[in-house]
Amino acid sequence: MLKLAWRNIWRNKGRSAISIAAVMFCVIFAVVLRSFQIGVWENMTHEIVANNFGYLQLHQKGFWADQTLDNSLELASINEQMFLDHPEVKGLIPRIESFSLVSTGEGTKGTLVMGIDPKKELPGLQLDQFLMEGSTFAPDDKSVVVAEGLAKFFNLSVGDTLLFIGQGYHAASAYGRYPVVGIARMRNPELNKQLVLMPFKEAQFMYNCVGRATTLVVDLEEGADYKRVDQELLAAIDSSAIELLSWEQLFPEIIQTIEADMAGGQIFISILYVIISFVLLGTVIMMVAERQREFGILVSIGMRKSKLAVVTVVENLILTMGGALLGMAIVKPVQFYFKYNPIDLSGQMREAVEQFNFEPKLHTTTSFMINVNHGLIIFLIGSLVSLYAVWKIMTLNPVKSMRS
Amino acid sequence: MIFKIAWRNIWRSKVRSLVVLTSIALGIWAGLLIIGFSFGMNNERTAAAIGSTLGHSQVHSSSFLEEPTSAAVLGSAAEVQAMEELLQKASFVKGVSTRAIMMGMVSAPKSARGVRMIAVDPESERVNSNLPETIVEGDFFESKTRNSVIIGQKLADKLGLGLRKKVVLTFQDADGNISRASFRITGIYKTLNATWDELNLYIKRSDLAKTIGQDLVHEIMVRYDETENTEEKTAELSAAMPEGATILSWKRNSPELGYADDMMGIMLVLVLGIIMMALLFGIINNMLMAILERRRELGMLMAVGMNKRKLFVMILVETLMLGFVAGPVGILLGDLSTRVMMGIGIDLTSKKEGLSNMGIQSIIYPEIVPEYYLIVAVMVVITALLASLYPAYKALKLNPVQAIRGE
Repeated sequence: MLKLAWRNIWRNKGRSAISIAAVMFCVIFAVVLRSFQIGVWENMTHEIVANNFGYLQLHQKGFWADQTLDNSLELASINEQMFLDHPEVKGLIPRIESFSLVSTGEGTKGTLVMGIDPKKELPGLQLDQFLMEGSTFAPDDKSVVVAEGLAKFFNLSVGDTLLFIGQGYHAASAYGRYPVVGIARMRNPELNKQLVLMPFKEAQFMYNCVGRATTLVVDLEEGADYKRVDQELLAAIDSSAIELLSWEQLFPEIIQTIEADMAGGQIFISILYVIISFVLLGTVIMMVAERQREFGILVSIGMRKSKLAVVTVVENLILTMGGALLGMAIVKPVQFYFKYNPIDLSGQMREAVEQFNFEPKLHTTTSFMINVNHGLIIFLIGSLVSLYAVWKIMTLNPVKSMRS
Repeated sequence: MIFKIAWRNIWRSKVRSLVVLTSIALGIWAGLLIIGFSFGMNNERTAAAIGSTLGHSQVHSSSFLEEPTSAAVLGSAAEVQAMEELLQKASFVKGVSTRAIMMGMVSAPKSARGVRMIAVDPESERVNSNLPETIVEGDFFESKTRNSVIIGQKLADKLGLGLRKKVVLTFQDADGNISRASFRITGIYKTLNATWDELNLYIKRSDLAKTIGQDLVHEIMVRYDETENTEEKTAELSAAMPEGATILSWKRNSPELGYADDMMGIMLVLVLGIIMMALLFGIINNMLMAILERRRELGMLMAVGMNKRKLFVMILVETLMLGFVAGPVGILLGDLSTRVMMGIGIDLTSKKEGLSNMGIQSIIYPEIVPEYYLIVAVMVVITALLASLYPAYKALKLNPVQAIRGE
């Protein structure tokens, strides 16, 4: 019977090719749409998490819920060697993160202050790569680098002086006065508007918290499985004194926003699936209509209807499977192309996307699971619509259909 | 003649025609539904922002737009008064509210954050905005307490503060002096836009005046009778504005909202594009199959002397006719299902938090956008026509003799 189906497929190459093409294109479109929907987010989280915040962060217990310097971490209490011994941990990056009112004498603005060591930092904070003007600071300098957006707000240039008025460790006042040595463009638009960077040591000094840090970013090796590292480290640390949080715990908003957007995306994809189902059904309807005569002859020379139906379904399944596999494979280069050559948004649109913390580019994801999932769904729809052929064959009137 | 043959052909093969017809109608249906959904989502966001925070348009001094410092005021009290009267002369202006905007910092006992402080006149806000309705705890400046502040739910959470707690606000007056004053939280508000709630807090203008000894006005919020034609109305008011003052519509005042509009446009084009492509290939497939099926008939027509050009036109005309029938059907279908969903709403409550991060309500009511009906219908019919080009070309390549034999 399989042989019969196989021969039928080859007997009418034109029709078979069309059926395969129908399924193939459906798979391609579903996968492309979904790849964009997911890829945009995948890229954004990577952009934010891997480049700026790290997949895992270590704090004093309770810091993330109540982000004050009073909840900063005593560096001496951390056994750094224990982390470095883990094969997938590259190092610990200490940071001081706090707010301060910054003034140039003319304007004043609340800003985010980060004390970092650019040499040790994650890619997004390796300042020398993002400098637009001036230079970066050495660990022992007493100077600051200002994000581009903030510099624009204050109309700053290299050499200007900034005044800091804030709150330090244990309610000490944190006053400071530092020259601007560089202006850097931060990739994250939100940070670009409000970030001031200073040497880690100087931040400890200004905020009166020498020997402490608010955050230790656990720097992972390229391609490390952060979830596993998280589990393994959690078992080793004293979780009554320090907290180890993954990015999902750090930024639940990102997860929530992704889920909300996915819900919207699912509405679109279901509408696409209505179209796809109909395209597939259309193909089957046409196939049956075209083969009325053939079916009629077969039944009248004694082929049992049920057998004929099975042959037709097998035929259809082979075609659908072929189309689905072909579609899954063909769409792969498309996914890769848009992953590395994202659709670049321009002009006004750029700012829109930046407002929502995106990089203004539409990426695709290259996760093969999407192809498999949607290939499978479409294969199922394809199989389901071949029931139409079964119904048509079972109610076939051989005489009438031969005359048509 | 061709029209007649085409029309008959359509009726002769009902199944085939029905398949193509349904494809076209479904394409239109999908287009309308997606547009309705996107617009619904976006307009709710816009309406909420206009009502509670932005107003339809706002007047600022030109220097404020360049750099929002405290010194960039609109003018003296008399000048502001004159502007208000000028604005209210227009028949479509329902009300105006004056506000002072200060960039500064809010310090709680344990932490501090950069914020934008909006100093308002409570009476006027009550009339002109629905900000008071967004209060979830406490009230909107009902009590006469001095130095009361209303902060967003999100900011309250971030600062770990609640009602009746004290905060210190730090800001700079128009001369550049830094002032600090202690304020008590008397209300907590929550708009649809969590990002706004995190950054903005409200105080009374009278309190601000007492604290810094200056009564500043940086902004006049203008509310129109309805949102329609906002750009035109704003342009009309703009012509009357005195020098140094600029009136901008909400779309330009809040670029993120305006751009969210545009962003939606992009996603819409992407999604519609993909759906049209799917449709295109679906119809090409069906038409190709139809040509295969009709080989005999087409060969016969050629054999009895129909020239190839006419044959080509005939196939296109068939598709076009199907398009004309399917168009209204699709529009009706799309319109009806949008209306039905408008009644029910698409419930995304489980994703509430995430939607609120994007400034969207958790139940989305699609909207009917008749302007797009014709555009979508024409787009789909053109897609169908394009899809019949290749099959029609294939038909031309038929060899009449072989075709009739069924080879």
